[in-house]
Amino acid sequence: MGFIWRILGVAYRNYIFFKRQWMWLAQSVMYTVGFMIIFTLWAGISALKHMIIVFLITSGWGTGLNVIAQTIGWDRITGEYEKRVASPLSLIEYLLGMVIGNMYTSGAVEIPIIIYAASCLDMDLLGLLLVYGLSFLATFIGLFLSLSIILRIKNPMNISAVTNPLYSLTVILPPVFYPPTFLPEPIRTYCVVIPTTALVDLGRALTGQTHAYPLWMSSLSLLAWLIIATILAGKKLKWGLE
Amino acid sequence: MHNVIECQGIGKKFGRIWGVEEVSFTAMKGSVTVLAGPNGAGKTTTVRVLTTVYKPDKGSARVAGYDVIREYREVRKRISYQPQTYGMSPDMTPEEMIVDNLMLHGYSYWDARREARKWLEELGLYHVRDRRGWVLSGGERRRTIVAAILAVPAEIYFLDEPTSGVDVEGRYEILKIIRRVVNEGSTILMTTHDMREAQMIADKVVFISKGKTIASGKPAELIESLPYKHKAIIRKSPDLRLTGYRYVDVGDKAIVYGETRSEIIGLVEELGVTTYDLREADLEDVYLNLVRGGG
Repeated sequence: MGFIWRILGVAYRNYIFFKRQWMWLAQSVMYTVGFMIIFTLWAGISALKHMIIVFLITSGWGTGLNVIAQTIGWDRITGEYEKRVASPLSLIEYLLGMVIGNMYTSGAVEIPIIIYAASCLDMDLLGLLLVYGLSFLATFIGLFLSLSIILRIKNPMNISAVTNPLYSLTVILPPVFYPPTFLPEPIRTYCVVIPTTALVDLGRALTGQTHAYPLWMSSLSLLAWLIIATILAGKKLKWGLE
Repeated sequence: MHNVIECQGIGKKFGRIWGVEEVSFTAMKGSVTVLAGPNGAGKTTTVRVLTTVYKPDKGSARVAGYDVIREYREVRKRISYQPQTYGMSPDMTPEEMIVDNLMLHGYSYWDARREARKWLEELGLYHVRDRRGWVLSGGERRRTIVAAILAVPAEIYFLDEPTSGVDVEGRYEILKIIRRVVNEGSTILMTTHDMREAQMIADKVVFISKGKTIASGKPAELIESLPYKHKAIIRKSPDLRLTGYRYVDVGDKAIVYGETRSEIIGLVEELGVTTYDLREADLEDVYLNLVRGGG
């Protein structure tokens, strides 16, 4: 049981942060509801269905790339990281605790809204469950990608100055909030190498919506990203004995 | 009593620079060992090697009987470590800080809460247990940190400057609890800049300078080894010449050393100083003698 409590211990600290800084959660709810309204009013129900997938994926991606990576960077500055290294906690337990603490706390307010909207739209709930699983993959790829960059910064005092633009670069600019099918060839096909584009497109496929790439293509792209990001982060993320 | 920390010629390199070059010492079970030395001497790096945060580039170290490289997992199960930069989160309460650290060591939430309350009472923090870090005083925050580290049932506690920024009263509270933990059979390795604190609490002091161990022993033995036993703190006048005397320059003041009380009175009179403060040499003088070559 010890390892479970160690994981929950890491999650507990993150939970307290969200409990005290609850305005972050309020912002998250406003962002989710606002975008749902905007997309529905401008482009109708099909846009809203697309948005539900985007929200699930970008929520996981943003949690890994931005929130958890910043927390780990902050832990390294404040001594929390080395205190944890010099304890029975393992790196896997630490990362799992981070994901649970951040994903479930922030997801706790967003997910019910998304599920309610999806059920109103008669979306396939099994498919949505698979997309929710995909959002965990998004969390880990985003986290490892972010860590592989921020851990190479010599003096990481303002980590958000790196992770925020990285989030915009991977979510706002490429075909994530808009489908790749709007883009002309060959740009459309090239965009499958962007992890967020591949994630959302795979999510659309899993919920029976129109998608731009065959399943194997987006899956291959994600597998490649998972391997590359894990190797790059693994080279820099040491759990002691540095 | 046997040694629970054995450090043999450890060195740690950062790029081409040795952060620690040659540190050797031992610490006995049930004792307080203090690492002392100037800023940048290598105290924190030594602690980081012993807590398995850093991998040494040379030498060997054993903590609780286990090698810090090959058996690091066993070491981590037996220690509790307060890093120098570790501070209290402004969003957390003292109770939450202690619970967080206990859960890290495998305690269930409920057991951790029970244990936390016990420690909060012992360190006089029970009345502020629900207050967030940002409203607590500096001393309360520091005591919370020490309580969070000492609440873990470890064989060896590593405290990197545990009393830094704490007022006199808070400092004595921390030192009192440290001695209690040691008397119950645990071992503490701590760093400090405060020699009076080291003299009061340490069973053994290890002086480190420029990444090397330069002296170690019991405080009384180290003081005994000084070539002088007394000192006078004098105010310097512009025409006062101290060349030829054993002294340490402290700006408009100076510390002049002598072997006996009568010798130092004679020295001060010879210098024409009428107002002075006569004291016995202490651990601070050992430090000055070793690091600055005072006396």
